[in-house]
Amino acid sequence: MAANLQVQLANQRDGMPEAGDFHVVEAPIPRPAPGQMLVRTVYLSLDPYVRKAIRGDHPGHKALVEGDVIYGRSVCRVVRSHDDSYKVGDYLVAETGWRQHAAIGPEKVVQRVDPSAGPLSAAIGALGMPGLTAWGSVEHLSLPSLGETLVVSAAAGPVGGCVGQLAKLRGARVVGIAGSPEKCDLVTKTYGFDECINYKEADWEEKLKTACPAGVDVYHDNVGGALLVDMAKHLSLYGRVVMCGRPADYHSSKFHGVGLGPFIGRRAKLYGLVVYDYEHDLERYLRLASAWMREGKLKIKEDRADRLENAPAHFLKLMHGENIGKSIVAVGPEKA
Amino acid sequence: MTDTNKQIQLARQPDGEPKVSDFQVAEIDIPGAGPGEFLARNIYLSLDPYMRGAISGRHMGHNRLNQGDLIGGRCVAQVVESKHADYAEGDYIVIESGWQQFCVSDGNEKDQVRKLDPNAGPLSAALGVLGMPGLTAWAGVERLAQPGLGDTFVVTAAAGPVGGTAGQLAKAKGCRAVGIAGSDEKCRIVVEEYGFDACVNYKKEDFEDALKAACPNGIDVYFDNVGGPILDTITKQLNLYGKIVMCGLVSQYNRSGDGDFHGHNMGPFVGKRAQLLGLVVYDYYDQIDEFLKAAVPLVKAGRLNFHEDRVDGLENTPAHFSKLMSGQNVGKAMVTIGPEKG
Repeated sequence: MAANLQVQLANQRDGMPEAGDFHVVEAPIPRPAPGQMLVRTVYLSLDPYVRKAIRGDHPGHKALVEGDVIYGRSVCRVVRSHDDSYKVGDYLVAETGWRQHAAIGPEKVVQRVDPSAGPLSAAIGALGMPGLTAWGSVEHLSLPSLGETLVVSAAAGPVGGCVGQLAKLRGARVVGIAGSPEKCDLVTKTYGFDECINYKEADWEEKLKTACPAGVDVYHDNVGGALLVDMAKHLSLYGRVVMCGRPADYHSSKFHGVGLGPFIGRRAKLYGLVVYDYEHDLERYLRLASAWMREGKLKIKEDRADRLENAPAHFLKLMHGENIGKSIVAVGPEKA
Repeated sequence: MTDTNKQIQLARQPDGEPKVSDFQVAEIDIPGAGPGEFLARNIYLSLDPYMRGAISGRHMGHNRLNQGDLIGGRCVAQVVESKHADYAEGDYIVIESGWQQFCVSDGNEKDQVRKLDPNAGPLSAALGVLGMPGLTAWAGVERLAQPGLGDTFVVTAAAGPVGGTAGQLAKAKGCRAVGIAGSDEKCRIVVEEYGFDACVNYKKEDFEDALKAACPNGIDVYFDNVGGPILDTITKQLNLYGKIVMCGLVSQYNRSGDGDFHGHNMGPFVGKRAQLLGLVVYDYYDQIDEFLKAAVPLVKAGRLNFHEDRVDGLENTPAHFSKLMSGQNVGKAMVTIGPEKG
């Protein structure tokens, strides 16, 4: 296996990406420099933030130019190592980009993966950054109490699904918002939320009101835009909003303007969440979350594609909200 | 004492900034106090930006006014006749009386009557630094933002009663206080009379750079009295984990429709991990004694100062209100309706 497939940017577009914006090319397998290691990608994570990272609108990411490999994190396995702290055969989550093999330094390593903690692929989902995002939201910012109602959007996704399940473990009533009946099924039947509302139905706000008879104490916002504006009117007095994602704003520098008047009227507290702030707490979270997963209290759902060549199409599916569950590309076998 | 009660009513719903012609003066009989009621003579009428929203039914708890309706407003008043057990002739009070010379009340909750201690400070301060505006500032500082020693605290509408008090309270707590105001004269008052560390005129072209120079360590707390584009400018200079007290949206109050508000890009708030805290002063009415315990000694010690923009005569109220809503007032806007001692 001498070839090393990678996906490059073919066109820096303003707006929703298209298949032609990506370019699959063969490159040689790189040689790791001193202090680096060679890793083989197993599972590539596809996430909404990648869209704005491509545009250079994400912390620590420069705008890509044509020919650059697309940003991405993956579960990968060490093939060769010039760094004593990483051994051949170790599993890591690292910034590999969309490629089969990458030569990376330790600064690109996001976390080490303990294969006994859960499924390997969960390290880019519930046992990784999406899970930690949910942990930061629920355990550090909104702190839902017994009997409070938490609502979360993009509830079928890995962040939303974890937010709701963690809030449920804390004794809150949990209501999801998602964009199709299939997603809502996943949210209530697999994740175990109390209710899920399909926001594409005309009467979704009425249904939300019925699902939250005492109002919304906490809203975890994964989508921004019009939904955030709509949710202001359903907040309880002194309600909390965790502002986590705004995928509708990720495609260009245009944004959906949000008026703050209704939030003042509700005496709301709005918190901005960036997952990097909680990396210090990852170990504690993983210890708890892997136990919950074993006990069946934390469920995951993946939307997988096979082979790196399919990453662009699978990414577009995510961008259009057609994925159900955590979007992943299986790039290579777990063991080889 | 005259035998008629002059009052200001709505002549028509203002379109945008209110004009004098949107109001009308009416003279009616002075009401009599029935059993369990008292009659009060208004001395000072407070003019506040929220009234603009209230007139159009956009402020919480206020129905849209119709032609001929009395304009609402809070006054310092003196009881002139009483058949109410709790209020005696000569008592000074604050009361939700409306834009008029006299009012009758049974002391119910809606009228928000509060007795004044004439020794706590100047009577008119009960409408400003020792009243609702002061309580608003105190709640934002002590109950929401809770700035720490050495924090940089920035406040807009800094020459006004809420902004001026907020900055002085923050300063008393060991913060660097930086004001933002709309004229050099306002900025002079903010620095020289209120004792802020700096004040920046947002109407000048170099506003952003001047603000940066005034906040060399970034902004830890922003007390927002105006909303709109200034908030977006501030957010750029906000420190990580900075706090924003959302108190007033003056820049948005004159709008006529519901759609044409300034919409914020929420991305920068997320990037800064900002906390945005909604403040409504009504939530803190029951803490007014705690507030006065903090503020009265500061006023007496000369560490909590205020500046008033007064006009004489009830009939001049519409013009004075229109001046306030176009930002041309300097300090707390109020109308002197009658003498302190009747």
